[in-house]
Amino acid sequence: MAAVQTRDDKVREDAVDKRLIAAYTRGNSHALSELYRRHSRRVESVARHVVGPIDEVEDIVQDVFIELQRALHKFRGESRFTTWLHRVTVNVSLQHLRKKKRKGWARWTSLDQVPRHAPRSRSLERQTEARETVRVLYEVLETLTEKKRVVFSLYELEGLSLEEISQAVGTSVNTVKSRLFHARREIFSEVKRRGAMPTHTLQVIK
Amino acid sequence: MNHALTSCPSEDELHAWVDERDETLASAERSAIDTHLGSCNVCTDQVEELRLFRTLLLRTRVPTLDDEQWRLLDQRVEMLAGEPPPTGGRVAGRIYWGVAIAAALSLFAIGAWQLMSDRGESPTSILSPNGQARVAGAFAAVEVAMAEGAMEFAGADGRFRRLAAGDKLERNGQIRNVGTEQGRLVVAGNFEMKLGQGAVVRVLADNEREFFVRLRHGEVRCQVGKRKPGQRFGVLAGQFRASVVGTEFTVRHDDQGRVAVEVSEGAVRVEEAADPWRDAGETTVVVRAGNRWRFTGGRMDLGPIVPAVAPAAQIPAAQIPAAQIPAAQAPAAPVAEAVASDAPEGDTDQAPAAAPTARAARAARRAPLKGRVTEVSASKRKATAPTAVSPEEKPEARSAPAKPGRTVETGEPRLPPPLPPQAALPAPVQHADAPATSPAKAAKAAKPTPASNKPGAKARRPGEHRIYIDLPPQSMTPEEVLRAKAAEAAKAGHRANPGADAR
Repeated sequence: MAAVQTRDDKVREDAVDKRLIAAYTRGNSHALSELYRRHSRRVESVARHVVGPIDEVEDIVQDVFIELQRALHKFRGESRFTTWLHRVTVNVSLQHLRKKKRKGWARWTSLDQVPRHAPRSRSLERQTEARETVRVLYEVLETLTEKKRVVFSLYELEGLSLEEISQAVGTSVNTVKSRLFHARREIFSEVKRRGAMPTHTLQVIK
Repeated sequence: MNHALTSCPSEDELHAWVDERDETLASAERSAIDTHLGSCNVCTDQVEELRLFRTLLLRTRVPTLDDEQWRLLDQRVEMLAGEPPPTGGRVAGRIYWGVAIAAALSLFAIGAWQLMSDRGESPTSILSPNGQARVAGAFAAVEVAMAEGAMEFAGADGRFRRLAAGDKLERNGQIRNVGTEQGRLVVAGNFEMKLGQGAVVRVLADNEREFFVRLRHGEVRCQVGKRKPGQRFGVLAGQFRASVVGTEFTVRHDDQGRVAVEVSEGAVRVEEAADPWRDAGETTVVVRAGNRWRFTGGRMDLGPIVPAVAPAAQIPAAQIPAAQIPAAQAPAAPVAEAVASDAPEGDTDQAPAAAPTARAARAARRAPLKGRVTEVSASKRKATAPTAVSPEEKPEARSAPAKPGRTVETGEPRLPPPLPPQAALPAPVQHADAPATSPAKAAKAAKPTPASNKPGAKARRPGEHRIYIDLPPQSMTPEEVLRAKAAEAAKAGHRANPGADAR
């Protein structure tokens, strides 16, 4: 499990990012490579939780860094670089989905297609149950509107804070909160209706 | 101080209470819900359900990339990081309709300007022969029907991304094969391109009626299904344009400027043209199946495709002197178009570059001695095939004495070292029954000739002329070919060049 970053850590990391951006705008192309090494995992994680389990996540990550390459000189440094990066990633991911005219969540039509690493239980019965719940949740996510789905998945699955999400999607924290509550309600009732609620709780899954 | 709840908390509040990361409930509200849950079984049961729900969420993490996917992605981005930042902007996020319309209008204007700039001609030249604007269709991007292999496409923004079925190919975009294997691409429904390793092409015309690419370097193998009437496909390489007449061909272009076209099926018209719309230059060659045309060391030659291990006696090839080819960027020279008289049935290519345009006809009338059009089908040529002389010989060609038997060469490995230009200059081609070597005879020969000059030939169109390049009989040995060539050079008054003859 990754160590939790303190506020000081974040400030220090952000200062490094901004030095790299300054170097890139001065013509040092290695700075972009370094930014990629520092943030590629974060970008990939946000992208796959926006678009769902589709195969084109690599393309989205690449597109995000191409977008950075094009627009880094526009970054004014008023916010944290990661905040800006989240926003670019969400935008590129949504553009990708709109271009493909499909959503990425309802991918697995049968239980066998659900990744085996999703359940972590040792019991075969519980593994099957867990995979079924995962499949149902993904199907329900597919039915949500784009705005609610993005907020829900970024908060619940990716683990971003409400403020980070509000900056990433370009709206207020209250709007994010509202979308999150609506999404939770819809998903919760639909999962219950389908009888896919887990029969036991898991404390820690990472 | 705890607040006592007068009623059960809402579902949203319970969701927030269960959520360990919740930022919405104040500590007082949280304490009040704690107190309430101790006395309300309904809410306690609901909280238990919500905990199960959170378990579900914890399980629902989308799988990440595996190590191999990460390795490939790292390579792709590292490669991009080394490239200069692309120019041009793109509006991220929402694009309002007004902005989109303004952008479309701007693009239209820029595209029209580019089209005119590329041609270097007047605005009227962007019109098709029947007067309809060609620009209108040029901005409808071509959809990729199928893409296999590691191919990437960069559009106007200059950003390369993996090419997949359903993607649109924009004009001036670039396609490159970054994989180690051949990449396969099907566009416009029936035009298939196989890009060799490292091949890069640029999309020149981007509508399904006219699809042209420029091969910047590498190899592209093309296969074309049945075309719709008027549909044009082709590949430009260096100063040449290979237009599809038939079905399957390969174009190579290397950094030394050498170009080669090999035709496996059908026929391909190779012309000197810098863009898809330009009228062809002086020389047009129709390369038939089983033959290859190549431009190397400043000269062109045509002959059968030589297998990897050449047989003892190859079908000899014809050569066309590059000295007679004007530079691609030279002012448009009068052109007489190719006569695809023995083109496959159903060939409906009415493209401006192929069809005799009014401009070409006027040019031919003005300067009837400049045009040179060559149609060669080496594999079909018989030992007794007649040799024809175009009535539109170049002046320098007219001054040379008539020589039977055009420059020939034996089958040889691909892309041989170049001959010195003068040594490679062959004598003009002669036709057995039309030795038009003087202006008077040329003028006489300029009269329409019966289509029976060539067995099975269709009626000749006005303003079109043909040259048949005679090749030695296939039964000739390489030594006989060399002897004939040496005799020809001696008669032409050229100084013998043993090095060239030995080739």
